[in-house]
Amino acid sequence: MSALSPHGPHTRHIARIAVATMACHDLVLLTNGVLGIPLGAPDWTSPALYQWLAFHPHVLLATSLVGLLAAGIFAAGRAPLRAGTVTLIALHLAYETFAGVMATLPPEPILTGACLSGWLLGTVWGRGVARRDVGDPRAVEQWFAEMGAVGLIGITYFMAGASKMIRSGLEWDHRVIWHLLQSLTDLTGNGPVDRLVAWLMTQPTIAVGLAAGTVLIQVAAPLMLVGRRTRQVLGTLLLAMHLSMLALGTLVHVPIAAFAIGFLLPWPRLLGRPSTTADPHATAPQDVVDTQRRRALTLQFAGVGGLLVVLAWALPVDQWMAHRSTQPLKPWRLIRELPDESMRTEALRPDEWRAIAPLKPGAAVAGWRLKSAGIGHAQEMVSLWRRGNVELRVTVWLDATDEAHPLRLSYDKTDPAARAPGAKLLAALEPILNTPRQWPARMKRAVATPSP
Amino acid sequence: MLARQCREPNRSAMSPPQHRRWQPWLCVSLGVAILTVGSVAGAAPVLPGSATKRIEAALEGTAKQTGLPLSSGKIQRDRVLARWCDGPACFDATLTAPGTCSAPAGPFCVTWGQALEAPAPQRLVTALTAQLKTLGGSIWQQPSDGGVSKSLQRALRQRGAPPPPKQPAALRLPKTDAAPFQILLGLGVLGALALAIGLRRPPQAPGSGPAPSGVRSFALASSVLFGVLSLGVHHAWPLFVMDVYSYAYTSASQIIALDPDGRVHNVRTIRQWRCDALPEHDLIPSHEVCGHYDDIGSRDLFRLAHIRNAPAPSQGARRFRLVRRVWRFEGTAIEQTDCPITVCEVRP
Repeated sequence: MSALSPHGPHTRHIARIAVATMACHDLVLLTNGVLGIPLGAPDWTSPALYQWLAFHPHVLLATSLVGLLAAGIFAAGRAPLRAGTVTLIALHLAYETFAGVMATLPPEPILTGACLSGWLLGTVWGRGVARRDVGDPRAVEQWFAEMGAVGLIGITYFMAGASKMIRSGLEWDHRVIWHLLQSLTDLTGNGPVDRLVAWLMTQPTIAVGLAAGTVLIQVAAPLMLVGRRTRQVLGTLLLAMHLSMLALGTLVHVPIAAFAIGFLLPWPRLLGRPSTTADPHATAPQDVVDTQRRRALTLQFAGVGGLLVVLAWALPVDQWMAHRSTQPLKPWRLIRELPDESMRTEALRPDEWRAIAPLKPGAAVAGWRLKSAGIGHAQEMVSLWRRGNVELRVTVWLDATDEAHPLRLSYDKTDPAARAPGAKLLAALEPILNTPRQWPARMKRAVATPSP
Repeated sequence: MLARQCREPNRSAMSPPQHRRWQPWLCVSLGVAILTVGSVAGAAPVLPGSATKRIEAALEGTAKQTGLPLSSGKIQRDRVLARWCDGPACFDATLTAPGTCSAPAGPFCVTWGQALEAPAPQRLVTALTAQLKTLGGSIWQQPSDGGVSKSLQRALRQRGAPPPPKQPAALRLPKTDAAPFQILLGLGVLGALALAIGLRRPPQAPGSGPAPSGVRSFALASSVLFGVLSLGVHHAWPLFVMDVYSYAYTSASQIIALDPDGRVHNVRTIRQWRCDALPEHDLIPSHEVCGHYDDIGSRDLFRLAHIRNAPAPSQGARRFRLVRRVWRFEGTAIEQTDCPITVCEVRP
């Protein structure tokens, strides 16, 4: 172990397996999420490729399977750069399609992306350095890969903490913790955790401490680059933060556990029991490792990683806070329901909605700019408008029974800042949207029952 | 002495191996002692779960007596929040321990809401006072298992609080007792201490090697580049500014089922459902009806999908109200409201 890393040259493959585990986990869940959405339609602002993938789940499934295979090759250390890049591309497609379909950005898979990107960046850079320097090129490459992964994980957490302070400042306080606790807790439960949550709801000081602790740990995450000990301490604090979310909100986050196992544990100590048969190539006593023990533990770790991925897929637990799937995560659903694409073909596609509500992102109406627009689970069109610092969500319902005024508009009138200008926006939008158009018959059938 | 041993381990006169063996446990003991002292010193009277029905009856009785329906009520660890409404005008009352005012009503001090548009009607004040007096004095308990120190009991009596009630041991521990937190916090502190101390002197291990030159600079530079790119594009996986949970929430909400007695039921544990009208989307009721509330949409969608997919009850159905329970956080106070969604026939 050096001052910078708890790994030695013989143990960095463990970190690589951890990165592969994270990638496989997210790839499986993201793909399953896209396949499990019955009435999804992409956000209009998402590029056409992801919209197309949302309506062609077989293609997405195929790319994800290729990604999984590549992740396995990456974990085995064969052509890690090429295999890792394929995994990265497959993950990108799965994430962006998921984000477009759900109109939400789950933050957890970003950590996996940062970790894998850092590893690949480090590999590329390390190869360049190894060409110039004397030494084991493989070891140098893996050194840079490990540090790149840690650095990018750290900066990602830093941005999470910094964005809270930039957007909300000190108002990101006990109320945010209370919001999460009270939204996620089972009100009928009477177990120790339920009682703990009930007690926390009466303790604003503790909740403020939890909020401040969250921000501090996240902002301090880049210090993992300082040295081995700071990485282990901060990594453990990050793990503790996720474990507290598991305990209080039943939110499981497998990738951070894989990261902790692969990047924080003193693996040379765990793997480096002196061998009974000396390695003839060993140049120093510290290079002597028990090869059999190393192989056995590596296989065990890879097995545990695979098991975690399978469990994450199979268990009906919430993996992400922003996961909006209306279907429980069941592996057999993939086999049973994938051939039936009626769920998708009956859904209104963005181009069809666009035909009746010609709103394009970036359009300006009455001083408001259209930020994004998507289709909700009840076939309604949800559009987000922004003017200065004020955001307004306008919902457009299609009422097939009223030929003259088929579109009904509504917005949230409780925000005092948006009330008067919001009314003006609606007044300006009404004549733009409610112009006579030729609707496809399929669309009339799809919305035969007007929404409230 | 103990604290100094924890802070300055290297100045110990002991040899290093001995030092590593006993020092974590020293700090662990110190952590346990701090937690124990802190929890006993911070004890304050609480409302036990066994008093819930009596308090609810008093609030409902007030509503019946005055004709003002009870709009919301919450029994917290150390206070009761209640609201009665007369059309658009609502009146909030906060009931706290009797030591905090000069003229308690029964076992409570009553504080009427500060932000009222109109003062609470006298009939409401009189009715609530009368109802609370019927509760008697044996409402409050100490948060410990009944073994309150004599000095603490004496201090409470001086403040006007009633003595701890003589109840069976099983009822003495209130539902909102802090014990689980202390256990978890204790474990967390112990784990953190053990970790921090264990990391102080890592043993030499085989397989170590010097870091190649420039590895930290590379990691730092790539991190900064990644951050700058993320800020530039906002979001394009794996780049993201991670501002999803940066919003300062001021409320929380859940969709729940209420039986005719007002008891809360978890929507997802009821297996058979048939609802009069169930909206498709998660933002129900609208903010125009319920006022602004924050939600976690995925949880609401899960619940609504469960109701929609559940079979209708064949026989023995009961009528439950489906509501969105909203908690609004104003400073450190929590205001609870139930916004009706629909009425359903269910079979638990």
